[in-house]
Amino acid sequence: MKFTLVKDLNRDPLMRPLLGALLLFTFAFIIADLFNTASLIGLTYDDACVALYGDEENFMEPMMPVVLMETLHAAIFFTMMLLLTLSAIFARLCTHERLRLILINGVMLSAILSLAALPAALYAGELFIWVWLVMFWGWHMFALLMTLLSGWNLVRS
Amino acid sequence: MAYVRSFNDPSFRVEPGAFMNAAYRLSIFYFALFALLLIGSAVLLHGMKIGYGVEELNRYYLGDTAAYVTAKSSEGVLKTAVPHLGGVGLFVMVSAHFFLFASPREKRRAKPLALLLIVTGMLNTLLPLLISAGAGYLIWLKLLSFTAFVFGSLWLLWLLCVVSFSGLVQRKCADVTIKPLAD
Repeated sequence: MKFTLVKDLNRDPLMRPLLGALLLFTFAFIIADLFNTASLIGLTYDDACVALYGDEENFMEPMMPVVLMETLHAAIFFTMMLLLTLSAIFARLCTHERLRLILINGVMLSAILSLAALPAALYAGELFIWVWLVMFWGWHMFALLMTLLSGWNLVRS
Repeated sequence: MAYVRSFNDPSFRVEPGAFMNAAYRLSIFYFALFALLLIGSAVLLHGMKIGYGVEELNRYYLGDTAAYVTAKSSEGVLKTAVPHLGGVGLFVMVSAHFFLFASPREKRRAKPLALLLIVTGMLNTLLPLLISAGAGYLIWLKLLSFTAFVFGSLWLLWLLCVVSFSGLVQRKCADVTIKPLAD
């Protein structure tokens, strides 16, 4: 996090390419995570219902709670580290204070709620699948926007 | 004025907590919430896979012929230990390094906690390897280190929330404030 102390971050000869590469990886991670989640759980209400509760007609087993918890445990760690780094970069590169606060609050809250909504959907009912879907798409869109805006500010200078 | 490149120069000092603006404090606050979810999921996962009692840990690692439970293999334990060796170290370092920006008093409170987390995190990750190799008497230590790591992490995160949230409420800070010391 020491890069937060560099004054002209987007003009620093070392930090500029490093942050650019990090943003590129972050962008790729967010896109890849969409495909990964699509294959594991699904990105629509019907797919997520089948993945979590199973489908007797098609002989599909429901997801075991321990498998879901293992997946979530790893996802929480990666999301936490990724969003902390992304929000630190965004806070440094975005000059518009209101936009900065809206996007950081948006991405963090939606990511936390999406991670909490999935086990809630398994135990407390299908309503939480909607919460998970909205929050999951929400944090990915916010994170993509933050990555693109940070990259734009880095390139523009 | 030399500004950031001479940050390590002893003739410059950083005012404690001064350069952390609202956005950074928010990020740290949310990081603490994420970490709370991470610890909660770890505790639940431990309960689902292993259990919380000595008997259950014995059965999980050493097996139980009467209940047809096979002992955990070293390869199986290693498969869990490897990502945790990377993850636990990173988690403790990232969580505790935010106190670099806190006041000396908060730093003093965080240091022993961070050391406790490093020791208990390491024990909690490596002890299962020894237990599965036959050192069943270490199960108590494994359980103790897991409990200490969980409660130590919660305490550290509480301190982190206090530091970040109190800053948000009290004042809106400037981006960077590095002042030269008086001659």
